[in-house]
Amino acid sequence: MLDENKLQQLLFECAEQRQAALSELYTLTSPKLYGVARRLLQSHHQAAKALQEAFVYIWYRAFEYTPDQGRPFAWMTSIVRNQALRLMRLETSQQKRHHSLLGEREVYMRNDRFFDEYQARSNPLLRELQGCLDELEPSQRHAILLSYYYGYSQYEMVNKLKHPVGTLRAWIRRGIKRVRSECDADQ
Amino acid sequence: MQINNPELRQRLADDYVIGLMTAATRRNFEKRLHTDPLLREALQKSEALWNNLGLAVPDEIPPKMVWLRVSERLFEESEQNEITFLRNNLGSLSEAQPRKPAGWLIAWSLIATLSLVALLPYTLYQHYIAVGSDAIVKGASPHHHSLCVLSSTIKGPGWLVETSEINRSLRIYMLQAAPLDSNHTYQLWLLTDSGQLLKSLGFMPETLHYERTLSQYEIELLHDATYLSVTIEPAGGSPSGAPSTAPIFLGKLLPSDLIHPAKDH
Repeated sequence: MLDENKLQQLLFECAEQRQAALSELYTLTSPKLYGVARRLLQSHHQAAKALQEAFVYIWYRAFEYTPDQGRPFAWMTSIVRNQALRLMRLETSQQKRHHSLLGEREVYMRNDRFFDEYQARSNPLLRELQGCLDELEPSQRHAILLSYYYGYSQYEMVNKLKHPVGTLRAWIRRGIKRVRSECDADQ
Repeated sequence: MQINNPELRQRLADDYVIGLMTAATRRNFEKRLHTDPLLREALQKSEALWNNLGLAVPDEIPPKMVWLRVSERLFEESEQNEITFLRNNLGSLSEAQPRKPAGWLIAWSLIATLSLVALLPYTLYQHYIAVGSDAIVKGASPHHHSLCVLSSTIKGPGWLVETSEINRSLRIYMLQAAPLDSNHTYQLWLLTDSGQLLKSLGFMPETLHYERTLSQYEIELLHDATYLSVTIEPAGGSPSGAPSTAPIFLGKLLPSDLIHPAKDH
């Protein structure tokens, strides 16, 4: 389990240009962040590229991090996702990704919760978020997570879930709204 | 234009993070982020919530070459380290700036003023060479001239910039700025006294001397400007039209008669 206080301390040290802090931050967080990028990009090579760019960015921008921007891991995840999404939107990358996504089918079709990784119960923040997601209809949850974890476009989701785009958008919107109101109420 | 409805702001931010926007809507949203601090705040809130989902992803060990490349890029280039240090100490211009002058502006203005005074003989000598001694004696009123030394706390003075309203000219003399690789360029920015961006004045020369004509609009903006700054941008200039980083070099524009009072007045 990642210790968010430790990550915060390391980010502060990165802001003071301590190289050892970045090295430790990388050791602690890169396996998860690489997993985030790999799922979105469906390519180890592209995910490595996204992770590399993200850590260079983190080093330069660590001084901008403040706790009111959220937990350190969420802040770092934003940076990795932005780098990965930037790569994902390149046309050649999209073609390869679309092909690779077909191979992910077994993972997310296993049951309605569809994620093996949907188990990380040890972190209170994640537990709360997952609790909110559990309250959703399976179809809503499914659509949100496909979009978030795998970067499914609306077109890809229509093909995957066999529902009109308007229905899917409505599911996701309702789901997001409900999760936000429940999570806001819990805070 | 800002989005005034907080619920709409939050909904858009959530849509953006989850990936519900079309390409065109996403680009529009990203443009708005540059000008709407409340929208940026909503985005931060949205990312702070949804990106906790990243914790649920099972670990995957990245290839070893990722860290090797990161450390090569960051720690084996001393020039980059200096830039990092400056960025770290100056903060980011992309964030909303306070109305009163920021602390770093005050510190830099002192450095720039001292550098300017120290470099004045050099300036006059360069000017003398460039336009001849008559121009100094008979030239336009010094009220219409400004001088600025763009300095870095580590490297010292990088460029000397001279603007002339009468001649409608911008002259830049390179003093000691390090050349960049072909993927990057130095870009010059015009700032108000509170650090707000007015306009880019183009790229900085990596040659000894450069001169160009100022447009009427640029001359008008100079009246509102107090500082010049230089950032390092991708070749071709900042893609957003605003500085991508905090200033690497900074200086205060001073009317030349403040330094060298005109005899005619």
